[in-house]
Amino acid sequence: MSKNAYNTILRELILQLFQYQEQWHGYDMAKKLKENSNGQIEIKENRLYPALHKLEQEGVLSSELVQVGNRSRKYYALTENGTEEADAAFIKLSEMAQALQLILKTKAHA
Amino acid sequence: MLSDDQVDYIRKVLKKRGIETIDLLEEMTDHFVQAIEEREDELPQLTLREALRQEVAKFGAFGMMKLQEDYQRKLEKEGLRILWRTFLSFWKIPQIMGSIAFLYATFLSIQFFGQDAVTFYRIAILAVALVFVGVMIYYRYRLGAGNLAMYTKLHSSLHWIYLPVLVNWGNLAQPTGTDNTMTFNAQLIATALLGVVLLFQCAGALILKRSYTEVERQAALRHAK
Repeated sequence: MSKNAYNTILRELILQLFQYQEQWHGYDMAKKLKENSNGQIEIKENRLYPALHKLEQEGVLSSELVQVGNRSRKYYALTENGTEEADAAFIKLSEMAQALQLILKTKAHA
Repeated sequence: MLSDDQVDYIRKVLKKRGIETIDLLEEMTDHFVQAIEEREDELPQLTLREALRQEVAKFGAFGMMKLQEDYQRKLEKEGLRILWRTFLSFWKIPQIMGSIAFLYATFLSIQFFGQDAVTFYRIAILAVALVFVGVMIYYRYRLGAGNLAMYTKLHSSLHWIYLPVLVNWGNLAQPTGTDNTMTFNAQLIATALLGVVLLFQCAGALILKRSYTEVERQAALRHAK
């Protein structure tokens, strides 16, 4: 998969996570994606954090540092613009999944 | 759960690996602490050093440095955006009216007082520029939310300086009469001085953004504590 395609899908995957809860931190995001995909989707840390920072820069996500024990944790939340994008991301991913299923079904029948 | 010393050790290792920016360092420290704590639960015999080595390896040989570079680039872009917004913020009615009033008052005073006023304004502009730089440096190194509010006021109160530069203050401020007429050099100097102030303003906007980022982070950390 090309780097651009990977980044686009990663972006959609990150955004759709916000339908489960309002705030996320990087580590939990990667964990949740892995769990939800039965271990099939494992996001590399060196891709996840730059993607989060980019979304923050674009104003899709906002962040805040919260003290947790002996360290600070950075939580990300959707901004107003981000909410619209997250909805669109969810639809886009669903459509993509349906299209893939269709392709696989066609191949199985052939 | 990792002890304070262990968390500090992780911070130090990350710093050595090239993570310099405070919030990125905090974010990464938290990531590694969670990952290591989980690994310790799975493999209790694993040492902190070994667990950290394995987690760092997941980022690749230059992963940390790349992450810092990307983050730095993001901050620089934010700085440029602030600079642009600062420039746009001048083009508002109060600022423009203020500039025109200032320009007209300057023009009248030069007509009235002649060469003395020109010299006075040159010195005044230079003084304002120097004071401005001094204040910038002072607040850059003595950050705090209270200080920053005053710093921001000072920054925005100097907006009127832009317009005279754009309309060539040197030409408009030219006094009448053969004895008092400003020479081409005098106009050039006057415009150049204002240009210098404009440059200070631009530099100030960048410093202001950095200061804001620092203060926001510090405030967030304070709030979190």
